[in-house]
Formats: sequence, C-alpha cells, structure tokens
Amino acid sequence: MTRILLCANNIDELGGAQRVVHLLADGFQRRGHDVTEVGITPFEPAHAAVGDVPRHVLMPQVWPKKSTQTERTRAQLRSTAVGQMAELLRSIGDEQGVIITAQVWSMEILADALALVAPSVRKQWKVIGQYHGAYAAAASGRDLGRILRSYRDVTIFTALTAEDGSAFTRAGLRNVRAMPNPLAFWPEETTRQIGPDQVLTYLGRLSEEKGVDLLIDAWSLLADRHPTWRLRIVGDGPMADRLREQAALLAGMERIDWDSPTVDPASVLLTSDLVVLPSRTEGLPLVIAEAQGCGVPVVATDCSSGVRQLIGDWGRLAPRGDSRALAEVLDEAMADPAWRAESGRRARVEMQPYRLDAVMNAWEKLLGQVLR
Amino acid sequence: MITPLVSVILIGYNDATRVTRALESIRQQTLESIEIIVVDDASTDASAQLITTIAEQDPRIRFVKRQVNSGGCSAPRNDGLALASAPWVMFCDSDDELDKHSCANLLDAAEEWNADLVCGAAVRHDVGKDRDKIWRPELHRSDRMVASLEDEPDLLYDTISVNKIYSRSFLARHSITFPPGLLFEDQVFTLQCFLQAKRIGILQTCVYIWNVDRSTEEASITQGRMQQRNVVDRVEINRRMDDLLIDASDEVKLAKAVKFLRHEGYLYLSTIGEHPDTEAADALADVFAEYVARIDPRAFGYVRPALRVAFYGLLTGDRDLLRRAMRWERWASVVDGVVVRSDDRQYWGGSEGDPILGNDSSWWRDVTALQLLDMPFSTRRYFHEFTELQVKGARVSATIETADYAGDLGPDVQAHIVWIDRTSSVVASLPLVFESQTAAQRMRWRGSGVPQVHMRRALMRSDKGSLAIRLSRGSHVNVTAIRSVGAQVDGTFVPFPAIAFADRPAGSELVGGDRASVGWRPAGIAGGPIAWSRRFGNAARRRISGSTASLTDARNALLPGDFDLPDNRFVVAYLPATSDAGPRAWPLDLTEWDRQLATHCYLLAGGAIDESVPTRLWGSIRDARGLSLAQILDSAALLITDDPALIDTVRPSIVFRPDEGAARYLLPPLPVGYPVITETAELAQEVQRILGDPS
Repeated sequence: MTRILLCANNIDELGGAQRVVHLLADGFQRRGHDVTEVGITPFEPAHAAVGDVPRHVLMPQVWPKKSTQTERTRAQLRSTAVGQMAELLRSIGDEQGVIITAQVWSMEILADALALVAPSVRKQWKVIGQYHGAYAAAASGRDLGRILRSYRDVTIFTALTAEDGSAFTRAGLRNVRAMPNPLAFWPEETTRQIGPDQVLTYLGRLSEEKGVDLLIDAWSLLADRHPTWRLRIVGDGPMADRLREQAALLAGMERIDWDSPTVDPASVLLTSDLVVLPSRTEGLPLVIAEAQGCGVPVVATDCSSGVRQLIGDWGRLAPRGDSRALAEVLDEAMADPAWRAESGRRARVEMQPYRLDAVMNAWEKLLGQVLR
Repeated sequence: MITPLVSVILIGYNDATRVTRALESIRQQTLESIEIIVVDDASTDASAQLITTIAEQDPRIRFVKRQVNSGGCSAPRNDGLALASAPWVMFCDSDDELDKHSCANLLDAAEEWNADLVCGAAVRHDVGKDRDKIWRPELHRSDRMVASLEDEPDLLYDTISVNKIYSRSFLARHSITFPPGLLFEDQVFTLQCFLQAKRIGILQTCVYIWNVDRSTEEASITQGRMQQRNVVDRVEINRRMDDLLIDASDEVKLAKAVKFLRHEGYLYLSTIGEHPDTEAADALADVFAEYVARIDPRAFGYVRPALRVAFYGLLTGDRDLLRRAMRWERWASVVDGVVVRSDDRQYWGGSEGDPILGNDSSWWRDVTALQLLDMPFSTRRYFHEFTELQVKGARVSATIETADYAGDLGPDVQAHIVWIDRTSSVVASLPLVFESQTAAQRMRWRGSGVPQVHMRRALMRSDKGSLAIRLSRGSHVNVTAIRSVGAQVDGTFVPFPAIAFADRPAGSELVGGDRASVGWRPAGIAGGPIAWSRRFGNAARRRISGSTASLTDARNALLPGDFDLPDNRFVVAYLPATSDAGPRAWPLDLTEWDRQLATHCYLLAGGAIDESVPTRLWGSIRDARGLSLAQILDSAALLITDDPALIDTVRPSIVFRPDEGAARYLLPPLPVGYPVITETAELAQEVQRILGDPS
C-alpha cells in the first residue's frame, strides 16, 4: 500500500495523456494503493470523472495563453500551483510516497515544489517521470533540453520503448527505464462480423502529423484494384475539411466513409479487415496495439521506435511520408487474406504485454524497485 | 535496519580532500538499501576523523581502519569483501564517485538477468577541462547479456573493477579476490571474474565517474611508469593472466595478446622512448622486451604499423628507431624517419635489420597501410625541430632540421617559419634558406632576419598560437608544427617592431607546449614606442612598414594552397546526412574503413559533423568538412551518402546508413528503391566491387 500521486498538466481533458493517467490511477487504486490524480490547470470543458479516484487541481483558474496581458496572471498562477503542490507533498506524514508525472510541465512544477519543502519531506518522495513521446520528437523540439534539465536527478525516467530509452541514455540520462502505456480495453472475442464489404480503417485524429492526406492519395491509387473494399476514416481534427476536399477530386472517393470520433473504438475495430496508420511522426501509438488486440492486422508507416516495436514482424511497415510506397504495401495486404488472418492472430498474442493487467504488474515491479 | 541489497566498498589512503566526496556520492544513491563499507588503509591524515563524523549520521556506514598500510588496493578491497553482508557488492576508489543511479541500475539489471556480474560504462572526467569522455564506448552501445568472454573478447579491454556489480556468492564460490602486493591488481581480478562467469551483463548507462586531474596526475603517472617496479609488476600481472587463460580459446588468447601490445605496449614504449635517463630506460626496456619477446608473434600483425616498428626497435635493441617511431604514435602522426618504397610496399627506414620472432625486418618495418609516400603534400606530417634559436634585438637567427621522409623536398621547395594564431591565420613569418643535407634525408634550413609581420593592428591578449614550418612546392602548401627537442626555446622573446604601438604587447614569447611543440603568446617591453626606438632603432620599424598592398600580398601568399589529391588511388566522397538535433559523430567507422581500404581509396569525409578526422588516418582519409561541396563532388569517382538530396549527384552512389536506433528518425527518410548498406564491412566490399583494382 503506497501513497501515489499521478500528475498531468490537466486531468479534465479528453486526451491521450489523461486517458493513461485515469487508467493507471484506477489500476493502482484497485490494487490497494492510496491514489490521487493531480492536474496543474483546470480544463474547460471538463470531462466528467469516472470512478472514485480523488482529484486535485492546483490552479484556481485556467492557465491563460501567453500574451503581454496575461504575464502577471501566469506568474501568480504558477506560484500558486507550486505552493499547492508543496502542500500536497507535505501531507505525506511518515510514509514514503511515489509521484508519477505524465508530462514535462508537470515535472517542472513538481521540481520547484520539491525545492520548497524540507529535505526530510523531499526524501520521502520517489519521483518517476514518464515521457509519452518518441526520442526523435523530443530531440527535434524543445523537450529534450527540458528533459535533460528536469529529469536527470529524479529517481526514474520512463520512455515508451527500449530503443527510445537507449537514445535518451546516449543523450545523457542515467535513470532510464522503458514502460509502455496500457490498452484501455481488451475484447474477449475477436470474431469479426462479416459485412458486404471489406473495410480499411483509419482511427485517429485528423491532423497534419497523422498523414491522412497520404492515405487518401494512396487510396486513390488502390481503389479501382480493390472494388470490394471501403476506406473508413473515423475521427475529427483541424484538417477535416481539407481532407474531404482532397478526396473529392480523386478516384475512389465514393467508397470513403467519414465517421465522427467514436466512444467505442472496439466496435469500429472489430468490424475492420485492416487498419492503417499513415503518420509522419508518432510515439507509441496505442491504436496499433488496440487494433492488433482485436485481432485486426495493421499496416503502419515506419516513423518511430514505438511503431516498429508494435508492428514487429507480424504487421507491415511502409516508408513514412511516401503515399506511393504506402499504396504498394496496402495493395499487398489487401490482396492477401491469408496474411491478414495470420497477422491478426499472431498480433493479438504479441499485444498481451500491453494489457492493463500486464502494464500494472510492470508498474508495481518498478515501484518495488524504486522504494527499496 | 533494512537488509542491505548491495555492499559498496570504498577504499582510500591519505585522500582526505576527496574521500568525503566519494562517500557522499554513495550515500546519495537512489537505492537506499545499501551498506557502505569504508576501508581506510592506515591513513595518517584527517581521513579517519572525517569518515567517522559522517558515519555517526548514517547507520548504513561501517568504517574499518587498517593498522598497517598495505601499499596497494588489494588488501583494503579484500577486507571489505570479507565484511560484506549483502548479496551483491560494488567497489569505489576514494578519488572517484558513483553516479547516484549506479546501484539501482546495476542491481536491477543483475536481478533481471540473474547475472554473475554486470558492467556499466565508466566516464573519465577531466577535472581541469571539466570535460567528460566515456571510457571504452564501443563496449557500451547497448544493454545485453553474454555467456562468456568467448562471446565478447572485447571485454578484455574493460579491466577495472569499479564499474561493476558482483554476486557475492559467485565471488566466494570461485574464491576470487584481489592479488595482494602488486600494482594493476584490478586486471587479474576482472579477468578471473570474466573467465568464471556464465552470465555477464553489460549496460549502456554510465555508472562510475573516474576523475582525472591531468595537472597533478599525468606527471606522477608518467613518473611512476619510469620506475622499475612499475614495469616489473606489469609483467608479473600479465604472466598471471596468461596462466589464467591457459584453457581459453585461441581467439581469446590472441585477443589478450593484441590488447597488451596495443595498450600496455603503447604506454611503455612511450615511456622508454621519452625517458631522459638512458640507463634507466635501458633497464625498463630489458624487462619489457623479455616479456614481449614471448608473445604470440601473430599479435604484432594486429598492431598499428608505427607501433610495430617501435616494437622492432625494442626487440633489436635499436632505441633510436623506437624513439623516432613512437613519435608517430605520440606526436599526432609526425614522421621522424625515412620511408622507402620497394615494389608496391613502403618501409620505415628501408628493409635493413635482422629477423625477429620469425619475421623479417621488412615485415616489421612495413608501413604501407599508412600510405605515407602517397599522401597529398598538403596533409603530410613532417617532423621539424629547432636545433638552434637566437634573438638579438629584433633579429632572429634559427636553424631548423626537417626529416624529408619521402625524399622529395627538392630545390623547388620554399620554407618559412610561421607564427599562426588560433584561427589558423599567419601572423608573422620568417623565410628559411636551405643550408645542407645532413645524414639520412634530413634537411637543415637557416633563417635570419627580422620576422615579417602580417598584421596591421596591435597584438591582443587573445592572439596566441603556435609556431610551424610552412613548406610550399608550386601551388601546394604544407604547414606542420615545429618541435623543440634539444634546443631550449621556452621563454625566448621575439619582438614585432612593426606593430609596437603604445602600451600593447609588441612581440611574441615562445612557450613550450605539449608534444614538444612550440607556442607563442603576446609579450611586451615596458616603456612604449620610445623605449622601442632606443632598443631596436627606427630602422627596424621602417623596414617592416611598407605599403598596404605589399602587406596584404605577403599575407595572401601564405594562405593554404591548392587542393591536392593523391594519384595512386580512387577518390571517394563520403557525405553523411545529419540533423540539427544532437551531437554529430561520424556514422562511418573511419578506423575500420582505413583498415580495409587505405591502399585502394582516398576518402574525402565531409558534411556537418562535429568530430575531426584523427591524424593517424590522414594517409587515407581527408577531413573535407571545410571544402566546398563542388570541390568534393568534382573530385570523387564514387559517392557514399545517405542524404536524399545528394544521392546520384555522383554516379555511382552508394546509400550507407548504419542503424542508429531511435536517432534514425531524426534523419531525412531514405527514398524508396535504393538498396541501403548498414555495415562498414559490407560497404567496403561494395566499394571494392564497384571500383575494382586501382591501377
């Protein structure tokens, strides 16, 4: 039984980081730990809490966008947040506790709070900093610098894959472990409902880095050769209108279905014959694990260590950023039902380590190592 | 108290200023369940008091003070081992530190792999320059477990005991302890562990911080190696290691021999070559040569050519050859000797001499791989030394000797002494005149006069640099440092009257640098222009000041010459893709390339890389990072690249991109349809296939 704080920049949004925090918080609580979710800033509109893990938001109002007018407010809010976090740290009593931060800003706030409390209090807390992005993403932006500054001295830094971890180690961190994020669901049955058509599914956000424009170009090269197939695009995002315009001019547009974001990804996946992830850049995209967990074969672009790890030798990789090459790989996959069946079957087995139970076991093992 | 999982054994002797730092680094470990056994080797300083004070606050510390100093590290470590109660042990020296995550990293890996021992990386921290360098980085590219030394003979290079965690029951089961009474005890201990272990873990992450204070230590380490005891112990340790390896495979035995020649051989041949006392040097050489003469002769085939020549000097008692050949090793590939071509091979000092260890003198002296005679003139590393230097007033008179190793410095060659600054610009120069040819292709030059100054402003404090000899032949220029071995030039003041403005340093003071090089820094004469005039006379100033045009001409005349290439090999260009994120080292293993292809190709290595090409590879690899893309591509018969913008700009092209893990996603994606080579060995094969034999 350990006191555990799970921190994210905000815990009210309906996003990937929040989903992981809720899953882990719930998982820890079920295993008897004393858990609190901590958000730095509130988020509007707040997504209603499911389950009974206590939540604590540090700032009294939403963190405003940066401008000359908000400079002062931001300084005050940040100071409040640090103070509130310090109070939380002091409330530990006599035991040892573990803080798991899911995002970089949270870690920076925590670092300031730790500097405020007495050394005896500081010693009681073990800090695990999770980073949900790939090394390449961190290195090409500002994150790597922030990580090297704020995570070097904490107890553990977790990367999503061993390969990313190795890259962070080469960059100078000496406290690296690999820890994947857990799947939110795992269907008992994976038998597909057979429909009139075969379905190629994209399930995700419609934004630039997801490469859906490449998928649409690729589809236009394939569509005529696979008359029994449909392309189903499930999701929304800033590029939605542009993508529809693009599709309207190309071959095969009549067999593209545009669906809005779903709250039941399992049912979407269980009615898919093939899932595609055409991203330009990724971390450890759980949609691949979710699809494969449902027994659906996946074609993904080779854009991160995480994708490679999830695709292994049971899925198919396509070169990133190249719609023609993507079309070739999809073409092969769509023409080969034997491969699809075998891939789906093997993939489901390979995705076992990403199930919630397995990931929670890995976390408890890590906690055991960290607390000794 | 919680049962400790790791016993960390810290040893020290009279190191009060640093032992508390080491102790603190162990106390700060993220892994808290440790016991800290501090063994003091009968120090006479404040060590004991300091440690006791700290021990009072931390119940995990057990302090043991030996009554009698043991003179080494073995006994204190063995004492600690005997007291250790945890299932795992680690060692630390008083002048170093553990990284705060070391115990956690090593323990977690050891448990995960159920290992007998796990090795982490050590980082050498240069205290003076505040710089870190990973030790044996090639061993620590990834985390892995191996079953034995046979699977990873390179572990032989990881000889220290402090970057590892050991299973205590494993050590006890095989009665492995440190041999007392000898220096270099680490090596035997570590080798025993590697030989007995069935599961050896290797981690990428750094676990040990090895502090190196060059200013205080280098002198004492070098001094130490000049002592007889040092080489005697070294030989004894190696005999014991050879005994341990009796039953090992041929591959491991040979690897150990090669490692000894490359590493210990380099150290001791340098010491013998640079020893000021001839008799003492001879005594060292005798002991060392006796052991070396019994080494598997095949091992010498794996050693760098110049080092092999030096070994030949050692084994035949030719100290002069040893000393001069070691200058190639020690002074950035400078050639103090004569290289002779015979058929298509090149020999250091010809082929004369007796056979040794079953090999002819020509085998020992063969330096063809260095391509010394076929290097472009501009990249040659000539040996120049001052034999005489005098300054009277503003007049310098100097005598320089140059080893004309290729025998082709004819009357068409012009020479200058040049003062170079840190941006490689010429600040001043003095022309030299050829005087005579002394024995064995050594040229003597004389220069006398007032150095011509190529600056039009006063010197500033930042204007320091080095002295070199600039040789020019036609449009090709070679600039290599001057050494001062016999002649004493340290402290000599060379005035530059032409820029003697008021209150500014107005000349250069020569300073002895490392590797017997000669540097200069600004120095002055008190009193300003009037004192100058009295001392040097206005005539000196007037002679120097000329029209602007002549000053500029003089400076331009000394700039680097035309781009020259060898004509006996194919020219290959290597232009790797880089990203803006992170440090950029050569993705290609240049040493491996040189080993395979030195005699076939001349490589122009360019691109946005942060590492330079080491001088020892200049025979076959040119550092082309400063050259224009056009120059590189126009000269190349073959292009090796992984930059999509450059593929096929020269035909043929080879796409080469070694697998660099997650960092590969920072590089531009490769175009589809080109075969990609990922290993240097495969690349070498492909290059040879495409180019065929050089004619």
